Amino acid sequence: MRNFNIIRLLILLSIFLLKGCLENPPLVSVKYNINSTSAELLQLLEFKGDYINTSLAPSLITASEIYNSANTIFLDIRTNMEFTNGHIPGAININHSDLLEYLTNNSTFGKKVVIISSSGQAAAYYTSLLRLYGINNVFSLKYGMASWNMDFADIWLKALKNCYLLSTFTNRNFDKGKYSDLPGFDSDKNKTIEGILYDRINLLLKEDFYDDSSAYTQPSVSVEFDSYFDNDQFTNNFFICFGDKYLYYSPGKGEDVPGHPIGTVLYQPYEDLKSINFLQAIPSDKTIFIYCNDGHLSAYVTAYLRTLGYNAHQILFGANSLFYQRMLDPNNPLYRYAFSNSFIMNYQYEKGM
Amino acid sequence: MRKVTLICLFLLLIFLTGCENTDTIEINLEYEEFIVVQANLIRGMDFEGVSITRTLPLEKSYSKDDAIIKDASAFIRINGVQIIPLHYNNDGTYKPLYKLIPAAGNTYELFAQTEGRSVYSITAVPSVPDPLSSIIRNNKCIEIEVMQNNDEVYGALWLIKSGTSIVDKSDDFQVIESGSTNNSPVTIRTQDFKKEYQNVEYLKNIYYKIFSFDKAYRDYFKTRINNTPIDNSLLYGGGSVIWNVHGDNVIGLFIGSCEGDLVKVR
Repeated sequence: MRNFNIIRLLILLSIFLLKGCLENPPLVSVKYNINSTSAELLQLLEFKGDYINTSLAPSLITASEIYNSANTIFLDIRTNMEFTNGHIPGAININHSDLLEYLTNNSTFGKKVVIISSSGQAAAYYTSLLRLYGINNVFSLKYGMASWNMDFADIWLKALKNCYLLSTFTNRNFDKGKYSDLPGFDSDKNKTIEGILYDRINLLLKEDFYDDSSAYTQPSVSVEFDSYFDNDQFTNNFFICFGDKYLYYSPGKGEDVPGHPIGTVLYQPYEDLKSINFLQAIPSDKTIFIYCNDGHLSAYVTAYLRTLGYNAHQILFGANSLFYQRMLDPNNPLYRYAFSNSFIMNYQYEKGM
Repeated sequence: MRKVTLICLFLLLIFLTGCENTDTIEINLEYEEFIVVQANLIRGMDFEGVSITRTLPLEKSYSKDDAIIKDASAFIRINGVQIIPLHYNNDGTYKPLYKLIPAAGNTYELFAQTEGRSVYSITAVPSVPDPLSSIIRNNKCIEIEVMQNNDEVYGALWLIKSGTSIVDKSDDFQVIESGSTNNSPVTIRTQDFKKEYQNVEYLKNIYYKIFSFDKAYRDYFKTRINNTPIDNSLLYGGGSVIWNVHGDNVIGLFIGSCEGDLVKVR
């Protein structure tokens, strides 16, 4: 019995000692990656200078700055008929989908390239795309042909109004939401990220900025506020007021004073869209509508967000089509953004091709 | 009986000697390159970036330029969602484009890819340590009770102050500890004071500072080589140190930490 106990003890001891002698299991090979084309695209856009968050954006140029200027190429992206009816002397009529090809195949070294549209907002959108790609000598004409001559100004003059739903606006603050993943988009996985950016910019350049036929279903890149929205759509979508507190809040106190559509979140330029701040507080699963003072900066931002894969759309004419009357008060800081005849230069233009 | 006992002991001896791992050290040991990653995420302080370097063969003369990896693709992800791209800087580190200040309670992940290899780490930034009480033990060291918070670990340094200046402090932590349960006190101690300070005159001016770390720091602290800190990640590599950066032939520390206030021992 005693022998048996000794043997049992020795066996137990051996088991414990042997266990300690076993080799360590091999390390599992680790394969981690961020697995997100949007993340790599964001990294590339930052590497290229993070244009949208710098004072370079928006890259606007006024009619007076380009009048009689040398070393400037004018690319007019309006329709053929609009171009024929009148254009800046020396301008080239080009379809927006051909912009990248034109700029990569024609030398513009040492020159400014100015993109021209009817109101300046489509030009702003496409200029932003080109800037994000890395073409740094391209600008958009502020207020478009409307600023060149009164004959083209109707597009702006008819847009100036208080919107129908203004009484439903509020001065209540809405906080930025929870962070969500960057959106995804289809891309060729066999390409480098630079190649993916090229494809993405090219694809977005081919989209029409405003498509009347889709106004009531899927929004085009831009929408007119009164044509597109009714009350229900405020809660189903995500609104961004891209500006400062003077744009977000109307003067006067109380939450009932009409400042912005219900649910609108304030994003401040040059700060809030940075990756370290609130870029990803923009929901990737909602339709996003952006407005600013006059439609230009929001068009630039819309281009940036769509490049990253967000379903972003710009509200045409900005505050000028939401609460124009309020902007006419000279004491209102928004006064300088209120479109008026003083912005129209009445320069001469050419007709025909 | 005696024979049986002897036989069993003999067998046991065979087992034990058989388990011995004998490493044959060959003179021509093949060099194996490691990627070394180092980053500190200090609560409330500007993030200084991630250093991503490679170890160099022993026979090669050291060159910072050869060691630094300049073309990695790296990101930080905050709380499993927010992506912060990192960009290579001329000082050899990968940093966000803008100032990033780590916040307590946030989890930070590091993703990097270089030369076909993936790098991953995760850390949490701890909160400000909460000292409950402190005593000087036998005029030799300070023992401090700290409130255990989540999965944090703690270390403490002693400091000698003269006027408004710190004139001396301990070289390192004595130990990195944590408590067994959340919201319960844990006792930590500093290194022993230098001999010249182990008298009443200096002890009147002795202070301590507690540091909190992500829990992974404790394993690293216990296993680091010769109990000395790894200050120069360009030179060290391999060994039995428990790192918290993962990947094929990847080592390093990606650690969240927080520095407590300077506290006078009462």
